[in-house]
Amino acid sequence: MKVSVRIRRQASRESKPEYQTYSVECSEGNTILDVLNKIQWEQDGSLAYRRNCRNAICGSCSMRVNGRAVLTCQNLVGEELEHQSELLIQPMGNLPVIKDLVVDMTKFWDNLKKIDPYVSTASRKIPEREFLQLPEQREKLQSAANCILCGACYSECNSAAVNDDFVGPHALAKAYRVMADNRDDRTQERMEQYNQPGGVWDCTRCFNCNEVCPVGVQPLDRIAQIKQEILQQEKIEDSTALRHRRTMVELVKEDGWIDESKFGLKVVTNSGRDLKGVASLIPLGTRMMLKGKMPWPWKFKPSEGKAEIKTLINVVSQHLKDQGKLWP
Amino acid sequence: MLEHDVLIVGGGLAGSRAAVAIAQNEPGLNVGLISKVHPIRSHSVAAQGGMAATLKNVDSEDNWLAHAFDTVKGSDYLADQNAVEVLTRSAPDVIIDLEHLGVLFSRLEDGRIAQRPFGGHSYRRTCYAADKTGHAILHELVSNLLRFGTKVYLEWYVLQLIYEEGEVKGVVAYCIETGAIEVIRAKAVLFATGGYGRVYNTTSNDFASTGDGLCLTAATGLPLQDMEFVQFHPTGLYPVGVLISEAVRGEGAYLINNQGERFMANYSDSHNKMELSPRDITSRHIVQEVRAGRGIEGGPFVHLDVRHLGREKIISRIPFAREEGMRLLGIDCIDAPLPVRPTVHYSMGGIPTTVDCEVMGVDRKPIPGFFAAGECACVSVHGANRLGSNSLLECVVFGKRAGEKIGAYVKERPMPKLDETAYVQEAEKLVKSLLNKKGTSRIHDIRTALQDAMTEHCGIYRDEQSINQGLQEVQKLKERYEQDLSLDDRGPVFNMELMAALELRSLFTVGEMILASALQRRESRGAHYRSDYQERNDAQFLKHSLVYLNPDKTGIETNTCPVDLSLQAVDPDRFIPQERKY
Amino acid sequence: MALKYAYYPGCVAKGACKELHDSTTGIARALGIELVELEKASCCGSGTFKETDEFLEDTVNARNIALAEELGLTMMTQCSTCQGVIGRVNDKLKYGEQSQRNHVNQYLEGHHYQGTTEVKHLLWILVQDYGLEALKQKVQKSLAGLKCGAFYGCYLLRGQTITRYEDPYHPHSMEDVFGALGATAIEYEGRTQCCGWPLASYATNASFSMAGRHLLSAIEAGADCIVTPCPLCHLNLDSRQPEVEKVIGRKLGIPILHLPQLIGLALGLEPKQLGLERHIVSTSSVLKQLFK
Repeated sequence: MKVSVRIRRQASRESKPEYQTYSVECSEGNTILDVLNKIQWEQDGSLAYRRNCRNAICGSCSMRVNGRAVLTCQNLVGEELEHQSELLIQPMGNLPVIKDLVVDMTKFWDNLKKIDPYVSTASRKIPEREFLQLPEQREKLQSAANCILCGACYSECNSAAVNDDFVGPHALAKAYRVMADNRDDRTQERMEQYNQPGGVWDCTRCFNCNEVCPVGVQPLDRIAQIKQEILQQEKIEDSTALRHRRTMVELVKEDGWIDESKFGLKVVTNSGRDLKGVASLIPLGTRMMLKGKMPWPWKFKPSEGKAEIKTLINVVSQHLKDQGKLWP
Repeated sequence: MLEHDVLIVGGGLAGSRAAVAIAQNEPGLNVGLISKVHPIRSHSVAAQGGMAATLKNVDSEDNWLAHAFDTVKGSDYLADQNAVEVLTRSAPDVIIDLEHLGVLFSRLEDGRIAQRPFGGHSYRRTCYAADKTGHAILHELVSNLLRFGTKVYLEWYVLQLIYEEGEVKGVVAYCIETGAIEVIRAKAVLFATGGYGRVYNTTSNDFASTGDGLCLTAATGLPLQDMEFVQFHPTGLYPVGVLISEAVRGEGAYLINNQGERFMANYSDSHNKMELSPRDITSRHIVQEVRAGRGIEGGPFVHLDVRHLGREKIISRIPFAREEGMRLLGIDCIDAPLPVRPTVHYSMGGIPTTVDCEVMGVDRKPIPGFFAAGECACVSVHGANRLGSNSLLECVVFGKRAGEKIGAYVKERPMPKLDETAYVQEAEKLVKSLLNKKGTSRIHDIRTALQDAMTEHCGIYRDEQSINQGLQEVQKLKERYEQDLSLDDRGPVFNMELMAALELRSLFTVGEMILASALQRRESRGAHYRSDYQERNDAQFLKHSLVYLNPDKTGIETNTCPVDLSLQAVDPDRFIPQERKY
Repeated sequence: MALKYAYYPGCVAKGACKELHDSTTGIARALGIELVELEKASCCGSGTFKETDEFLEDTVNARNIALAEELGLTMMTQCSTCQGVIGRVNDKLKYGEQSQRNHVNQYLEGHHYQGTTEVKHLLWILVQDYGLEALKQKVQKSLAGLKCGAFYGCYLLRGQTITRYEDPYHPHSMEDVFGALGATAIEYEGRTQCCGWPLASYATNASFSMAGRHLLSAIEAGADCIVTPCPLCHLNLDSRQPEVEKVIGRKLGIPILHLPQLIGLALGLEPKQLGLERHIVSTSSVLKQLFK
C-alpha cells in the first residue's frame, strides 16, 4: 500500500522547521522505522533520525508519531493508520532539535546523572562472592530495570515542559531502581535527595510517561513508590507537598469528603504558621468570596458514611502497620 | 589538537568496562571515550542469553578447565589455549565484579546468581538477566561512566587511526553533529569497536555494526586474523533477522522441520545434544533441511517451538523472545512456533592481540600504543566458532584487563609527538570528495549489492569458485562506489548519508578480508565450511590466518601463525585436537 | 427504559464548584436521566492515596463502588480525576485475581465489592448510553457560532488502562458533544494535557505555567471558551487564571465552562441555574455571543 508520511524537517538547530510529505510503498506490518529507512534509502538521503538495533532494546529511535513519542522500531504502520490516513512524524518534545528528527539529549543525560544512577555499596563490606538478592527482592526492581533510556517519557512530560529543574520520569524511575535495590547503602540519603525540589513532588501525574513507555517501566508508578517511601519517614523534612498527602488522608478519615477550606489552611498555610502561604491564599479567597465560590466551613457537609470511612481507614492503616509500614 | 592519556574507541561492553577499570584504578588519568552512537545504544545492549562462568551455583562439579575445554572444543581447536585459560579462569571474578557494580542478574531461590545451560557448555554455567543480559550489564556500566565523569565524545566517528613510525599515536575524528574534524592524540588507543554483521544481508547486528575498527586497522597495513570465521546464529527470526536468543533453546525449545520432526536427531554430530549443539553445526543443519525441501511450507526457514514450556516459563524466562515474535510477526510463541533461519551474528576473527590486549603486527610483536578488546579483537578465545555466553564474557574479561593493562602502560609512555596538519587536510579532502559525489548510484543500492554478494558467495557454505566470484563482485562494486556514487545530503550537520558512505568503506574492506581469508583456508573448520574441502585438516590448517594489505596497499596478502596449545600440558587427553562431536 | 445512575458527586462539586453539581443535576432532569446520589460515599483520594499506599486507594474506592453495586446501578462520575481513580480501582479488582477482591473485602465492613458494575463519566454516559442523536433532539438553543476548546483532563484519558473509552491522544467525545449542541470544536495542542492542578498547592510556578501554555494554545487556535469535564482542571484554569496570567505575563480572560453547563445552555436552562455567574473569569462573553 501507498502511505503518505508527513515529516517535520529542520536543517539545523537555528533553521526554521517545515513539513515535507513523502509517499512510501509499504505494508501494514512494517514498523515506522522501516518507513523512515525506505525514505532515506530510496527517496531522500538528507533525512536525519537516530536508529540502531531495530529491536526495541537500544532506545535510539524514539520520535513523535501521530502526536506522542513512540519507539519507531516498535510501532507498526497498520496500528498507526487505524485512526488516520497519514503518518505524522516529529522529533521528540522537550529537547532541542539538532536536525530533522534528531534531538539534543544532553539535558536528559544530565538529569539522569543528578539522581546518582548507580548502586552504591561503598559503605558495605564487599563480600568475596555476590551480594545475596532474593528473587522477590529483584522482582520489585524489574519494571524500573526495563528502562532503555529512549527518552519517550521525557518527550511527553508535562512537568519537564515547564520546570527546568524537574529531573524527569526516566531519572526518577532509575532513582527507584537504585533506591529499592537491597544492595544499595544510600537509601536514606536518596530519599532526602528525591524529596527536594526537582524530585518526585514536581511530577504532576499526567500519566504521559506511563502511556508512552515502550518497555513497561511505568515511571509514574515508580515515582509513586518513591513517594510512598518518603511519606513513611517521620524524620524527613516537612513540606507543603507532604502535608498535601497527609492532610488528604486525615480529612477524608474525619469527614469522608474533603472540606476544601480546611484543606487549604492546613496544607498551604501549614495551619496558619506559614505566612507566605497565608498571603498567597488571601487573593484567591477574596475572589472566591466575591463570586460566591468560597467553600465556607459552615456550609460543608460531611459524608453520611463518615463513621464507616473512619473505621475503614483505621483498619487499613493498622493492616499496613502490621506489614511493617510506617503510617504517616 | 585534543589529547588524552587514553582514548577508547567504542562504548559497548568492552569499551565501557575498560573505561570503568581505568577510572577505578587510575582516577588521575585523562580518559576519552569516542563513539559513533551513545554508549548505551551500542550493540552489546542487545545481547540476550547470558555470560558463562564457573560460579558453581548450580552445578558444583563445574570448573574452569571444563569451561576451557568446552570453549576449545567449540572453537574446533583453533582458539589459543593460553587466552582461553585467561578467559575461563577470570570468569567468576568478573561476574562478581559486575554484581558488585549493581548488575541485576537473575537469582536462585536462595539469592545467589542463577545459572542455566547453554549450547556447547557441559554444565549449567550461564549467568543471565532474563533474556536481556547485555542490557542489564551495559546500563550499569554506562551509569558508572556518568558517575566517574568519563569524557565521552558522543556521536563522533573515527576516520583514521594514526599509525606512524611503528606506533599508534591517536586518531582523526569527525563530529557527526557539526562536521568538525579533530585529531585526538593519546598515549594509548584502545579499539573496542565491535563486529561487522552489516557486511551480510541478514544479520542480528544493529545498523552500527559495520566493522569500522577492523577497516581502520587494516588501512594502516596491520593484519587481521581468522576473518573467514563468521558466525551464523541458527535462530534469526524470519524474515527480519533479529535474534531469537539461544537461551530459548537453553530453556528447552525444539527445532522442527515441515515433517514435524526434531531434525537435529537425524545428524550424527548433533543427535546427542540436539537443539543445544553449537551454533555452526545447528546453522548448517537448518540450511541442510531447507535445501532438502524440509523448510516450513517449502520456505527458507524452520520452526522454533516453545509451546511445551508453558506460559509461565515463557513469560518469566524468555519474555523478550516472546515480545519480538509478537511485535515483528504478530506471533505469540505461547500459542504458535516462530519461523527462524540462520542470521549473521558474530565475528570470531578480528584484530590480533596478546592476552594483555596489545595489538600485534604481522611479526606478532605488540604495536606500541595500540590495544583492542571485545568482538573487534581476536585474542583468540573463540577460534573457528564461538560458544554462546562467551562473547559477553570476552568483552568483560578483556575489557577490564585492557583497562588495567593500559592504566599501568601509559604511566611509562610519553605523549607521542605528532604533526596533525597533514592528517586534518587528508580528512577534509576525504569528506569533501564524498560530499561532492555526483554519480547515479544511491548508497543503499551499492550496499545492498555488496551484502547480497557476500551472503551469496561467502555464507554458511562456500567454495573456491564462489569466493573468487565474490572477490570480483566486490571489486566491481568498489569501482562503482568510487565512480558513480551520489549523495542527496551535502551539508555538514548530522549527515547520515556521509556516515553511510564512510561505513560502506568499512564494509568493503572487511568483506574483502573475509573473502581473502576464506579462499586460502582449504578445509572445513567451525563456522568456515568449504563445500570443496569438507574435512578439517589439522596437518595443514591448525593455525591462524592473517590477512593484510601489501606494503603499497594495492592488494591483499595472507599469512599464518601457530595456535597456542598450552593446555595440552595440563590435560593432554582433552586438549589435543580430536573429532568434534556432540 | 429511562437511564438511571448512582451519582458520585465528588468533593469539589459540593464545595468550590457547586455550580457543577447544580448543572449536572439540572441537565439530568432535562434529559430524563435519573440520578441517585451516593450520600454515603467518600472522596476518592484524587490520586494521592495511591502515593500513601495503593491499598488505601483500593479499599476506599472499592467501598464507593460497592455502594453503587448495592443499588444495582452504574456509577456516574462527573470529574476526570474521580473517574480515573475509581475507574482504575474497578478495573483492577473486576478484571484482576479473585484474591485481590477477597483481600479488599476483608476490610469493607458492611459492604462487599463484587465487580458487578461500571464506573462511567457523565461524558461517556452521554455519548455511549444516551446517544448524541438523542441529545441533539433535546437542544432548545443551538450553540451555533460558539467556538469551544475541550480540556479533557489526564485521568479521564489515561488514568485507566483496561477500560478505555477513547485514544488518549486523539479523543473526540467532547468535540462530538459540541457538534451535537451546534457549537464548533476547536482543536488545539493542549487539550489532552495537564492543567497543573496537582502542583497548585506547592509548585505554583510550574502549575500555572502549564495552565498558561494550554490556555494560550486554545486562544491562539481561536477558542471562545474552554469546556472541561473535570472540576479540578476548572479550578486551575478558572479560579487561578489571575495567577496564571501573572506567571506567563499576559492577559488571558478565557471563560472555562463545566461540560454540563455548556449542555445546559443548549438545553435551554437558565445561566443562573447553571451557576455561570459563579466563575472567576466572567462567562458573559459566552452568554453575549449566544443571546445577542
